[in-house]
Amino acid sequence: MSYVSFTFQKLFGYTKEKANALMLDVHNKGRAAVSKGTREKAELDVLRLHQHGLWATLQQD
Amino acid sequence: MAEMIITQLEENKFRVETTPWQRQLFSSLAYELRESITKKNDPLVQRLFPIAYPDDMTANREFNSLVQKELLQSHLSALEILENRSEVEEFHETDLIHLMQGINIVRIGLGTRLDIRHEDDFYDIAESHPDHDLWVIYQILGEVLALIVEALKI
Repeated sequence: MSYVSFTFQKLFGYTKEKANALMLDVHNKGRAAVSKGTREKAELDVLRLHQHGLWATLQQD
Repeated sequence: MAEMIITQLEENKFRVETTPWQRQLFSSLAYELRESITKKNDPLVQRLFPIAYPDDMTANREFNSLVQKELLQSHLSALEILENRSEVEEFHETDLIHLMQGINIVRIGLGTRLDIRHEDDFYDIAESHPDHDLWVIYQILGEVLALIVEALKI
């Protein structure tokens, strides 16, 4: 679990508290919105998460 | 249990010490995974190359055409770092993160093989169970991951 939280901090610059909260959402609810932005930015973020072995998908609001 | 020793030498620089059995374990797991992810129909491929657009296969194909090669190369690079270790090495933070990525994806490989879908699935499995050793390795890899995260703490 610490790996997931660390990855959120490293990739997105989140505080430990925010990264832990997102990690717990993933753990308890099965998903969390960890990044928002243009399609290009979101796709890059998904690639970086996939490179870290984390399951990430894209959704248009 | 993890037996890996990580010492921070200076900012962004670490010394990593591993035991012979650890290096052998990392090397064999990395080799096996590298063989698997280059096969198209291996179930593990779906886990390490997730679908980015589950509701839009056209967008997903476009996404894959742009990133799949880069993602494969990233996984292979992480496995290569894991596969070729020495007893004592100095790592820049970036390389230590790559080593961590390699450990994570071989752990995912084992988890897929053992059908672990949630961290809480881990339990004390009977020594007589045919997959007992793999469960123990899965646990050890989790401990090593936690050790590296602790060393890299932001």
